[in-house]
Amino acid sequence: MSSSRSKALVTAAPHGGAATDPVAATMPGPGPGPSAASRLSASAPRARRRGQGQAFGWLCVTPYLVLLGLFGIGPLAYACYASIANPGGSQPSGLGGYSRAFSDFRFLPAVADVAEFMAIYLPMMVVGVILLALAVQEVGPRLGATMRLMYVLPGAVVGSASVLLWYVMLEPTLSPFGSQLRAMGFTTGAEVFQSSNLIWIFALMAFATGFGQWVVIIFGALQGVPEDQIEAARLDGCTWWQTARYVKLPAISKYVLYMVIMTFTAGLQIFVEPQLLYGLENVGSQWWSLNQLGLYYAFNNGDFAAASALSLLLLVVCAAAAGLLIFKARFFDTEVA
Amino acid sequence: MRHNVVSTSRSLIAAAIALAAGLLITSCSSTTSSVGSASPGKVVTSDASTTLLVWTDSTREPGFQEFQQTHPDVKMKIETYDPTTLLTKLQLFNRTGAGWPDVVFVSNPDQIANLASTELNFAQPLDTLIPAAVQQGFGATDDSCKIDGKLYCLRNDIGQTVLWYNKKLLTQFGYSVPTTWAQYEALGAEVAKQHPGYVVGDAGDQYSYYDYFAGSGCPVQDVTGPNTVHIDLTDATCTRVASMLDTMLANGSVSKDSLFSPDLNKLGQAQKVLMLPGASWFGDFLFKPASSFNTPNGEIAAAAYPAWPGETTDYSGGFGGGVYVVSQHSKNMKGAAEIVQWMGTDTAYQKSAPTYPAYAPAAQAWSQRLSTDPFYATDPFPVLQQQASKINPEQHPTSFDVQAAFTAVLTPAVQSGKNITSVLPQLQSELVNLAKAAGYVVK
Repeated sequence: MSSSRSKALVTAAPHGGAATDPVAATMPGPGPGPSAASRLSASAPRARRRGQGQAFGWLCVTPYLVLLGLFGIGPLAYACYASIANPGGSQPSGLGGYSRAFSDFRFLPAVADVAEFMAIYLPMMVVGVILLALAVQEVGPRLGATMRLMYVLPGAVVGSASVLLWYVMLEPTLSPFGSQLRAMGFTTGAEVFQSSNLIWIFALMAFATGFGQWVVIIFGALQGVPEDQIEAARLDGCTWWQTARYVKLPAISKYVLYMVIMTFTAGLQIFVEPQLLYGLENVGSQWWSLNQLGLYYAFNNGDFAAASALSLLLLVVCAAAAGLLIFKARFFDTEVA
Repeated sequence: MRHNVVSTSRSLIAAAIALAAGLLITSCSSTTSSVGSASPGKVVTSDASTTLLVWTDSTREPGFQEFQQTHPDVKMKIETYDPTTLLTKLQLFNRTGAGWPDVVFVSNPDQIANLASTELNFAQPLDTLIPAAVQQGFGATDDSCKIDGKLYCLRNDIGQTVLWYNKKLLTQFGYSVPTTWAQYEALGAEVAKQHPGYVVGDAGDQYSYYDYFAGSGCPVQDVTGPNTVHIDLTDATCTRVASMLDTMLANGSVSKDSLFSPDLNKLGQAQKVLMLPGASWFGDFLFKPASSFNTPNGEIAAAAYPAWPGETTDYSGGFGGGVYVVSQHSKNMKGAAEIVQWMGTDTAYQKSAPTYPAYAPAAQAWSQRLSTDPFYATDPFPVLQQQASKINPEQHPTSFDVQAAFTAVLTPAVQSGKNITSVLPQLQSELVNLAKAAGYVVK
């Protein structure tokens, strides 16, 4: 879940009707870049300022690139190597790691678990965040700011703290909402924490920790919808819902797609919630999700090759999703209006 | 941009084809993980100048510190560690080539098969490091430390299952203590009819394996040879347990709640747990504590485990306890063995231990705790001692996760009211798959 947060921090919300996408401003290279600065003056000073702008851009991006190399590209390269060479393992090296990883009897059930989880979590997140962001915009600036703060707060409780909090909230004998749980028909903790309810429990946990930051981003995107378009829609007699559906949502469609893909990649790698809930409540297993299975391969079977192979599979899927975002949706293209 | 997209998608397709080809090629290769076979260990070392790194839990830490003070010639450094990370850390140490602890107190005895495997290569065989007389003092309690005939750990304490019961309530209701499982089932039916709400057992979680199935001799961890395990849930020793539990779960005399759940806790606090087949530490840790069942003094007693028809011995299951392991990578295995031997056998230390010591003379000294304890109606020690040598020898240590299989199959079935008998085939396939994935040959 933290990967979606780090990506969210990179993309700040645009203000007003700025033509330049601030994300593009952080990407180095000729062409795009701080075009606002370059528009301001005549040719020679413009070239110098463009050079300064480029240098500053590189300065801002270098720390990220260093960290990306150390903790992103480096481990990726090692995983590719480990999946074939199986360093330190007793299994033979070669492509056997891939076949062991994918032919294990727990692999397909883990894929099914994660797929079912995504089928609930993704729509819940997207629809929930958009509705809440629209609501925040409707209630006006002051109340809206308070609401945004309230939504972001649950995101402060992540990982193991979040699992413990949710365990207490959902255990009928311990929960402050015990009477509501019993009204819903759950009298014992075992009835709540059944393996068939797991996807709902994890979706709730993931939603609670993630929705706040996305509301902030989608709200920012909504603020970028030109006022005159909304005025025009209102003059034409559109209701709130019609304005949202026909004017606002198309205008922020790129951000919605961005949220969908970030949520997808984060959800695909779910690990903490099933791992901790298994330890707490003995429900699920140590190989419920794909990431858990990878950990099990590595540290219970000592099979780093299979674990690397599984991780690379997850990477390929997430990279395909990111590629879709970048090239098909052209999310990082700047619009020079 | 167009050009980039095309070349990127081309290279992605190429990578996908390569991957698929690789998978096809390797699908024919036979790959076996060797987590099942036992490591032969390394040559015994005795460099007394090295500092031994001891990993312990907080309960055993005072013991290690006492040894350190009374044996200044053995240099040691004591650290507490998180038991859930043990296997992970050892894998990492194997890869970096340094950092292994010399002595570990392992709180999950099921892990010994993993620790002794040729995959992890961690546990050193102790047959030559521990004197024969001491090994005899442990007797059958160290059987759960033996893999392929070699002793890979020393037992600290054992969780032999006994029949705990509330003597006061039992006499009050006019029942007698069952000596066979048939009598136990009949008692359950009586209790369900005359005193609904009271329970005589619990099968709501994976621990039912230790409390019911293991004692019966159900082949789940029946290691019959190196890397070979016999798993057969169609055996009569398994089906008799399943049908008994089905009847008792149906009439409510056996609880569906997990042993450590708030729901069984509530039942226990209301003193409605009439009887509980369970480990030797149930008395002190489940019935006595105020936050647990909080049973008043003078009510709880222990009886011998019920017997199945046709069995000459009333076998128990082995549920919990801890073991001491010496590392193969230690530069001073003799010193490390001295530490674990003292921890396991020292009467003065084990006398104050919280749970039943595995070493027979130490257990004898420990018995004073129970005989002077006003909590028990009658001294349970003779029963505990009797069952200590009767842990069913078919319960071997294995490197596949039996608890995970029971959690995945048995617990949901019990919770939803399904018959255990009907899910035995599913449990069988889950156990067989796990054993095969761990590298065992399943017969």
